[in-house]
Amino acid sequence: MDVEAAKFIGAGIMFGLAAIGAGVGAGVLSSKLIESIARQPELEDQLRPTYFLGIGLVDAVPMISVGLAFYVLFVA
Amino acid sequence: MASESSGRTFQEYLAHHLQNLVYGPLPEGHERKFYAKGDTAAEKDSYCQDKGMDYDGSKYCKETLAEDGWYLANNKTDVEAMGFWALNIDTLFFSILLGSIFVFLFARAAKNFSLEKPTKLQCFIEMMIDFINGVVKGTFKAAKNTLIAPMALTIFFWVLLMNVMDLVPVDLIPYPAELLGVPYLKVVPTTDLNLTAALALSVFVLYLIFSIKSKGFIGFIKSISLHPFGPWMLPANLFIEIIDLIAKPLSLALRLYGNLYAGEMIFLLIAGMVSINLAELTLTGIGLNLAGIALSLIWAIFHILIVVLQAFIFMMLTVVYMNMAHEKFEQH
Repeated sequence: MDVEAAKFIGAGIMFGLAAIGAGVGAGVLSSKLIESIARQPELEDQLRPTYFLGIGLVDAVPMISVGLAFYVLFVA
Repeated sequence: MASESSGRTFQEYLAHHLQNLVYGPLPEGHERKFYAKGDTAAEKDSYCQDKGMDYDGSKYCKETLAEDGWYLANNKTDVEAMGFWALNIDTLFFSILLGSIFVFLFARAAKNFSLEKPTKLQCFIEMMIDFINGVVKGTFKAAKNTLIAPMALTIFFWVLLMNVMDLVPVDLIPYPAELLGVPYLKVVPTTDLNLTAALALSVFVLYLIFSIKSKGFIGFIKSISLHPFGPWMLPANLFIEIIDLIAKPLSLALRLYGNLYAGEMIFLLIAGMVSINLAELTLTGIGLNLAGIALSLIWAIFHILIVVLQAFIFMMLTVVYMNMAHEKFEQH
């Protein structure tokens, strides 16, 4: 296979899988937050920092994947 | 900005921005390559002649070193030839500079402390100390250690300041520096894996020290060999616990590095897209420039979240690890 074509396919797979994973992760996290707040509204202040910590952790992995995909596409 | 003026292509522009300024020892006989300026082969040849080097026929001038010595690296082959003692000067410079700014600001606020007339700086720093204190009190419960909160504050602010350098426009510092003769410059220290790995390794060493201090050396060995499966499954326990141990610094270092590197990469892609079309004032060029400005702005605003969040997560995980290290008996 042509190297350029392989690069684009590889980067495309990386973008796509990163988006799927992050989407599912952030979705589950947010839905659980809303559920918890709906059940116990007085806990909102305690839940929010934990939620942001979780979002930060979920956000990290796809961002790394996207950065590496750009690296594969344009630099390597 | 930089790409058109120095005749670089898009790929070369990106590669140029992702290269650290490295200083290190090079062996005798090592062939160095310099980027030749000029449009035609003849211009490049005369440029190389002016510098006292040979032209290699494509893009570079070349020079063979007559003796050992410490040099600034010009490309990846130079860095590879330097080996262990390749020092990333830009990372060292900016991280120490930002650390000094942090220490200087806090020291000034502490010196000018007043109960009657607090300055805005003092209020801000009191707020931050309260915030960090709250986080540490909420997370670190295993033992009493007055070292943890100051360490958390230092890590948070140092990493935050280093991350904030990412919001400085990508060519603002490297381009003038290049005109002044600095070949490469990476202004965001956290986009260098060496720095994040150093931070994570320091945290890891503290983790080991505090673990051994609180559990005793034998207790520490027991804690990594006798559970989760009990003494009859010792090799399996050891295997799992050692992976668990090594994953801590590895994930700390790679998370911070990966996030900031990816962010910087996207800023560079936007800037590269703009700079390529800066020379021609066509409708597409102007449109692309406007789109680039808008994209940069959007990404920068989104990036503020990542910048603060990653600093916070690094601090938070450090405190969590310290808490685990201080536990007398690990519970699962």
